Amino acid sequence: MDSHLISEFRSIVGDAGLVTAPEQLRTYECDGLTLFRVVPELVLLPASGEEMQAVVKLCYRERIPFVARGSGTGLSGGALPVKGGVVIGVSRMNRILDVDLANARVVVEPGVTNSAITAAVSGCGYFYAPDPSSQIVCTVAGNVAENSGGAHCFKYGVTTTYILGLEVVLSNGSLVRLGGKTLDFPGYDLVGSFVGSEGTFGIVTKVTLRIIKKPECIQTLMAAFNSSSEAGQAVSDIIASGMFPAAMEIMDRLALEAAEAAVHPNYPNCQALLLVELDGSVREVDRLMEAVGPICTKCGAWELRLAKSDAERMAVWKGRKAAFAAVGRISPNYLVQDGVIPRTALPRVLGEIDRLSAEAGLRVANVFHAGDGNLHPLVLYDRRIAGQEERAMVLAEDILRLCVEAGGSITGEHGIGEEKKHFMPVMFSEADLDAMQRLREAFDPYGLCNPSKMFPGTDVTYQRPIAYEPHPIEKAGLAQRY
Amino acid sequence: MIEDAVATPVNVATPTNGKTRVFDEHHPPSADLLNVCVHCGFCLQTCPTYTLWGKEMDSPRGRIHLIGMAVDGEVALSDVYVSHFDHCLGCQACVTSCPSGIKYGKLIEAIRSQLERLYRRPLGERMFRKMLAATFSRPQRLRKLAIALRLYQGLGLQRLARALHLTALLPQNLRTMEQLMPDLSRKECSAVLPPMIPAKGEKRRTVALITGCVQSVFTAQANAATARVLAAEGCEVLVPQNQGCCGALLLDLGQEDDGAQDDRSVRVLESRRHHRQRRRLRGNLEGLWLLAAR
Amino acid sequence: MIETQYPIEIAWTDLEAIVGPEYIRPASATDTVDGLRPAKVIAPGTAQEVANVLQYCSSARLAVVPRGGGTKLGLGNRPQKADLILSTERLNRVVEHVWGDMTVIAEAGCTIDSLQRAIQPHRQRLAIDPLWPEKTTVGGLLATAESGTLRIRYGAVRDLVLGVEVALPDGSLIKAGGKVVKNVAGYDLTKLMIGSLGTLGVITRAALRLHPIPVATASYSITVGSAAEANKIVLAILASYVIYTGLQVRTDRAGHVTIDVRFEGIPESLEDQHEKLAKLAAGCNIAQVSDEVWNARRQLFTGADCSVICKCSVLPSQIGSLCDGVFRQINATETNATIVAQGTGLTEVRLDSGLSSLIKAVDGLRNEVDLLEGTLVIEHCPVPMKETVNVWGTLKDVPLMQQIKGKFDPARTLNPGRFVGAI
Repeated sequence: MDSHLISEFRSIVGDAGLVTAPEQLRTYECDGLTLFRVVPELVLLPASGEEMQAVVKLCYRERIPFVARGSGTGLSGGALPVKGGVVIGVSRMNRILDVDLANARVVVEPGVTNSAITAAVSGCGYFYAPDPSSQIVCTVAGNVAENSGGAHCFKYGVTTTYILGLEVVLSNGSLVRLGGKTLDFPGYDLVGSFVGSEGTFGIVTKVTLRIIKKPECIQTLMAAFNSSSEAGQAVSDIIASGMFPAAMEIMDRLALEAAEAAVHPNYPNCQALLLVELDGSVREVDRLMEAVGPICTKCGAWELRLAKSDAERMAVWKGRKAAFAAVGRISPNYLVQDGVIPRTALPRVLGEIDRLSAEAGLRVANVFHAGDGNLHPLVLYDRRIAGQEERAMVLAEDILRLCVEAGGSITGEHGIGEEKKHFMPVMFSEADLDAMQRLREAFDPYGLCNPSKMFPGTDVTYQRPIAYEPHPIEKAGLAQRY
Repeated sequence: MIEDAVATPVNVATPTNGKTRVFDEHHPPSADLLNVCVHCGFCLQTCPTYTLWGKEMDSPRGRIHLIGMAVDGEVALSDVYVSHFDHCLGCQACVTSCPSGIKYGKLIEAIRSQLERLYRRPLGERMFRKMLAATFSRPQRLRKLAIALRLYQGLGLQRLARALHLTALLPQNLRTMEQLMPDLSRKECSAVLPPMIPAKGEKRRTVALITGCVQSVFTAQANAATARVLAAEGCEVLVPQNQGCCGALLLDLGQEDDGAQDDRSVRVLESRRHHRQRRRLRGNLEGLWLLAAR
Repeated sequence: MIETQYPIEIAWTDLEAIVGPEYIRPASATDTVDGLRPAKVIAPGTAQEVANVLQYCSSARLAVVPRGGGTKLGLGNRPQKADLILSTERLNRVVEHVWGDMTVIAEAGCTIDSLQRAIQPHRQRLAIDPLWPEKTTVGGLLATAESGTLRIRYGAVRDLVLGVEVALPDGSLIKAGGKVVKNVAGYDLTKLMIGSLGTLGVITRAALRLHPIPVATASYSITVGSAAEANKIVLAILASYVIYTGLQVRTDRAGHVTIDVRFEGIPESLEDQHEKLAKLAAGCNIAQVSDEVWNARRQLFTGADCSVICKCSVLPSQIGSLCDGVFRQINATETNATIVAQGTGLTEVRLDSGLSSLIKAVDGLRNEVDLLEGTLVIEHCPVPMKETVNVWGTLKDVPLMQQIKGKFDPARTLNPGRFVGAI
């Protein structure tokens, strides 16, 4: 990049907000998905909304595409840099600006981590509900970009349910305020449209979100089954009985092994473990939990364990949340997939996954949000063995196709990003994708915000125009270019 | 348990892409250890330098990435490259949050020793680091320094120097050290512990205490407090006299243990092993625990 | 936009060819929109027909007003033009009820009541209570994003819709979202369509998430002497472990305010909640009441031809101040007011008086709401008032909204002029 331009950026963000050395830029070449790597031209880390706006204005002036980055924990390559573009990180904008407990609203800068929000309000009995497994590191900006979910979104909803207002810098450097602290702003739901737009509409400089009161009583039941389909049946029966648990998760044998090795949650030694969490008033939870046990047993659960205290519950959930990365202990490499199916299709799809993985000769560990049908098959392989990586990628894609066939979605939480953009036509028609593009053009007509993501055929290599050099004949005044 | 601090891995770091090797043969960072990292980023928010600066290169994940790049021969050991390893505190908070079980301590040790050998620092830095190694690893020299510093503080010279901003004349490193100097006026700061402190009440265990270098000279009250707590818990506390440095500081500077100094506290303790009684070795200094953990 | 002098009779013939001659009829006196009488009412039978009709109207420069139950045709500005009402009455099926997934797919013209009846056998419901469920259709509910008393527990319309199928003015029929609860594939066009008042497209079907029908319900009313006291109790309830599924404040004069609270669940749970409530409202008059109190919103709209009904949105902690502000304004303008506020801060205020007083009262109320940094939208008012009063209020982000409108409906076929910023 032109050194003048770098100085201009430096005058906005200072040395503390600039990364220029090639070896440093390499550390930004990917996020949580390491399959794709692109080195950015520059990384900018503004410390305030004003600096952010100035940076984007400069990018706009020079027509430089930019990719926003939170903590870089995303699993779909959303923060993968664009060739020839810059990365704008929000990690230095990490202040909590306002906590209004009476109205259960919090205003934060985009770089605040998900769990920091809960930490700020939990002393007073509140929490921020969307709880992705990476919540100790991932930022609210990332959550907004991907519309992150989490284990408890079956009852509590996903990120978009909790975002009331956004202050956004658009690609032309203008600042807009969408929504706000009160509900139902007249006009189009721009906040709802922005959440989940994977950084293609602009960059967030402020987030106004809702927190909710912690329930009076929370209990988590672990039920050990001999197969995932039995566990899945139990889930269906629990829902059919009219109960509305806060979370329902299933982990299969491989995933349990990994989690046990990582954090020693002391799970029962079984083929499939079902976690059911109920919350509400003390009496209600006790009463409902009495009913859940027999339902599980009827479906084949041979052991039931109840975690009542906060400490016990935390241990149970720590294992579940560490499961992905923990799989690294039982396999040299793995691919985590993210697909959704209607819950009623669970037994069939799980059986199909078993069949496909046997055919491919690879192991698949399964962790899923049974309550909402969001599957996370972890395809285990060893890159050093010839052909395994390719087979793993094909298997992962086959599983996704299976999800769509079953009436589900190609992504429940991780987003499309780079990873699944060529898959979009599997789920959406041309007219559907065209409608989405129209919305994108309304927000970013210049195509500068994370331009190469989400849609097929958008691979971009941005090349800055070469400064025009007149031909000698032109210089001599003998010819004109028009 | 104190283990061999720099275990030799089987897999020597050689780039398979035909590029020039950056590290030398002597205990390079192990590719096996590096491969444990799945780039999930869970370590970022527990790392003090990342939470302070927000830059990926100053996070454990970023540092591991940098080491990997050098292992692959894709980067030279430049000032910028080295600075990120100098920034690492070696606190290993990242290890507690890593779901994959990365042995970050071994990696940071390996790279520091490589950098110490292969990277030529500016003269001022080299002198400063020599001074650190020479003074802080020798408790006797530290004691002499402490006497001088006690005078500096006690005679009001420190107050004068600070008031007249004379400290601004010092190079950055020394200025920071001057600012961080603890208050040495109380004699407990350098008190030497007796060789044995009996357990209070019923003796449940025998514990040997590593007194450390800086700790025993500047903040020995912490050692005394540790001994008191251990004694109260029913431990008989043995404090081998004339302990030297445990080696942690030198390891952080990238210098390896060459076995030359007999007064290394670990060796002192091992040589004082009496019966075949199992001993618990206790140190209350960060550095010592890190040494043990590696 | 160039107005072509289109021979209108040709248009009707062409449209007859799309839907069939029996499904396009002249508009009658009951088919007016804010006093404007369109020429025809057309009722397509399939989603594709809807798309074809819209495409035709776009190229013919005809203005279309989509209509479900017709309950909210008075919402928004007067349309700049209204040639045709597009009724969804024939798209009224419940397509699929997958009770095991707690989801249902219904066509846009299906009324809320018939939807609830269809899913009731499996003890499930759509947790939204619009004003007139017997008339309001799924499409209309989504297009207006109406907010009822269940919202405070179960979420807004936007939180309960999993996906939509929409006919766009260019003739395409698109799907957004899906039918599963977790889905982040692509942009959330579903959210864009919800509350868009039919200005971007016509929703033809929707996938909705359902909840179990509660085993039992109980409602209680607490009467207090001032809006400030009521606000204190409301905030205490919001900050407590009480699990309310409805929380409402009603008042029509200073000095008499009622708080309604609803509980749902197993009988043990209801007892528990009542005990907790009693502790919070100790010293006040608490009485168990029937479900009727939750029809208070509906009563606001009854006999309201000459009234103004405003939807004010403030923070829950400001409900009391809002009520005080309302009473200040009505005292100044000799107006009567009835207030029904939800614990979410969404408050409906009905004002009754002569036209000029009403205009002054609304102006004054708008100032009060501005001071509280809230918003005020006029949901219903006498048509002549729309000449002088800004129904939507002054807003930010209008340029961005205009951009979006321009991308989806460049010919301004749908509801031209009705939405914010006269989109």
